[in-house]
Amino acid sequence: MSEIILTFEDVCYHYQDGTKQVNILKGASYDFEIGKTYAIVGASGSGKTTTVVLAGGLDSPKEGKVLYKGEDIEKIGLTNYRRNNVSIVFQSYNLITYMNAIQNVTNAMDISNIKIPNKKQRALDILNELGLTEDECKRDIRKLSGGQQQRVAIARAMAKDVDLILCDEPTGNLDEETSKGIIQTFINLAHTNNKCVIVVTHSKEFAECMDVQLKINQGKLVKID
Amino acid sequence: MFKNALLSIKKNIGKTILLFVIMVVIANLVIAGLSIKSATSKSIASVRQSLGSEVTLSYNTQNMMNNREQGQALDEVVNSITVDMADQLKDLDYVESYNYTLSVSATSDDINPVETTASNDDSDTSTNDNMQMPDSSNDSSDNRGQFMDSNDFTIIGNTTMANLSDFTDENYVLTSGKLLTEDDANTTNCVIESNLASDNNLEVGDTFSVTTTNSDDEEITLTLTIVGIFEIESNREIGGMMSNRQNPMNYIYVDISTAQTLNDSTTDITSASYYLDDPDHIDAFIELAESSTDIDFETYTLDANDQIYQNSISSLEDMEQFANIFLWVVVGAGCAILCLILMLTMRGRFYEFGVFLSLGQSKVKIMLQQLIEVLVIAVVAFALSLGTGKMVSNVISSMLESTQSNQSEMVMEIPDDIGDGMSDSSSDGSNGKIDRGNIFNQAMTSPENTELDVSMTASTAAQLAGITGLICIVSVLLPSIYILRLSPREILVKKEG
Repeated sequence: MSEIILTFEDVCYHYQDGTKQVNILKGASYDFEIGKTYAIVGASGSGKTTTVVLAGGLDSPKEGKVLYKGEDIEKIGLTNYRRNNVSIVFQSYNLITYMNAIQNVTNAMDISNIKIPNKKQRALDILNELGLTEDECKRDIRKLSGGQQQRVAIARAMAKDVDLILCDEPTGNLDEETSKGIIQTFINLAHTNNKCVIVVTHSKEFAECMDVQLKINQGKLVKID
Repeated sequence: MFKNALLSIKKNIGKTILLFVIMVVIANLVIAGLSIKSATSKSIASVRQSLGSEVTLSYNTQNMMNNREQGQALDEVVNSITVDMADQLKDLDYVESYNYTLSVSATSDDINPVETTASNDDSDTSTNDNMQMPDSSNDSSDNRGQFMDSNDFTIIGNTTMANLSDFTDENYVLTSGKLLTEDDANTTNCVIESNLASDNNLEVGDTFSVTTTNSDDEEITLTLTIVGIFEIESNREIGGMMSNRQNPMNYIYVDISTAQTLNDSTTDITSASYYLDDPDHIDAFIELAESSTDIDFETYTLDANDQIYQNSISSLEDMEQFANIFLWVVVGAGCAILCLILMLTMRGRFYEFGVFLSLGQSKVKIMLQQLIEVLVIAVVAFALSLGTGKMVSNVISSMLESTQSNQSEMVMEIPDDIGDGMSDSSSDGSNGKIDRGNIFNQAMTSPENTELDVSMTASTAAQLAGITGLICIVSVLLPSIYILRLSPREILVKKEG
């Protein structure tokens, strides 16, 4: 059995909608292993994005724990955890608009205190690897296509060089061809670079490409056999 | 962080220019406020130092009249000020110097007075019989209650003439010889007016005799030596007097000991004036005098003759107050405007904040980046304002001075009869009391003394830097805290919403 990188331990999450309490996760538990890709599928509002949010340390569970390599991420400190242990790729890319592609990637390296001699060159290498030209890398980020921007977001996640990559609908805005390329990138990251990639998706094709498929059933994470 | 801040400034050029323009305006107004505040403070200090402060020991006329029984003569209720009494005050804290004054009416067989009215022309100078009103300046103990005045001269004895306001204010100007100082103590030296000197062909070095009569009707005669001659410059000094003795041209200044000899008393004086180191100490001095001496302050009073100071200072204090209010309004409005603009621009930066947080950037560093962005713009605006602020300061101070000048002109529009009344009630210049006409004259000249120097100082620049920094910090912190109190998820959800 591979090393467990992330554990959901009886995680509960709910939010208030006026006077009504909406329960999203109710005692969800699961162990995610390093070197594997995971797809979380389910209907809208089932709690897929909440699972990524909690796994990424963007919020805290109301009950239960999220453990990173056996340690409660609250104890690590959510900011520290986000900085040093996890990368998140959002459906809407979440790039800094006043930075070009290279600057977006190097900025993530700076925040994570990655100590390498030439960050700019490293960023360019990753972006080239994902199919962006040097000219595109220096262009105003808002002038890149959705697929190109998503690849910049993935490059930013890769540049942090962490073991856990979380993706929320990474191909939601992309065409089929581009989506395939990105799926292959994630598979390579897990299998070649020994990362754990957890992807939230609506796409059945995308989910089927992943090593493990999970669904959220009545607030719990359930493996689809 | 700094790199990101510079990048943001460069890329968001529209917002940068807007912030820059607003900061230049705020910084200029802050400079104007600080310069005027600093200039008025300097002027107040300067006026305070130049005017000094004088407190006079005199009778408490109000109490005196309250205690007077019906029909009782004034000389029966008035108590003299004694040298012993005055000496108790001269060594108190805050006293820089003092002057005792004794006025005595006198006649002379050697010289003729400068006649006040034509009706005196044919009369014997030593026996003129003008009607005289009671001396309202409460300092002429020698002739209290007299209505028929046969004396032509007022002998004014002083400890020193150095602090006499008529001379310090240049109403009287020395034309030859010297004024009496403490070195002239126990001499019969005197200083007379130039018309009196010319009418009698007198010069410095000449002598003449004066005669007074004591309470036993015995005559006391002394020969005085002229050591100085003065000229009356102020027109208000002439006219209004009803006898030769009241005419300042017939004043003869002598040492206090000479006046005491002529008054046949070494214990009584007319008044005592104390010159304090600072007008701010007047109240403290009076309090000290009341607590540490045995002077009966029901009978006597310490008059703080600080009207000139108060007149001069009040407009400056108004201006200082205006500068303070102006400064606070500018700082408040500046903060509010910058906060508003930053809040509006930060609404668009929800997204950026969320991204930075999701990448693991700390909230403090995110706020610092915002602060650096604003401070970089502020530093450039600050540097520019150091040049333009002086111009703004000059314009505002000119406007204020013009307003102040108009107010002074309004103050000076006093009905003539009031002015005349004041001349009538003016002192003989010997007791250090300042008449109100004199106050108006001096108040009129005060704008010249209190012209604002709004030059930029290092202190002003430092204060500007501090205030600008404060405005920037408040303007960044408020909207940043508003956003960063949320969790990264909430920020990202808001952004996506």
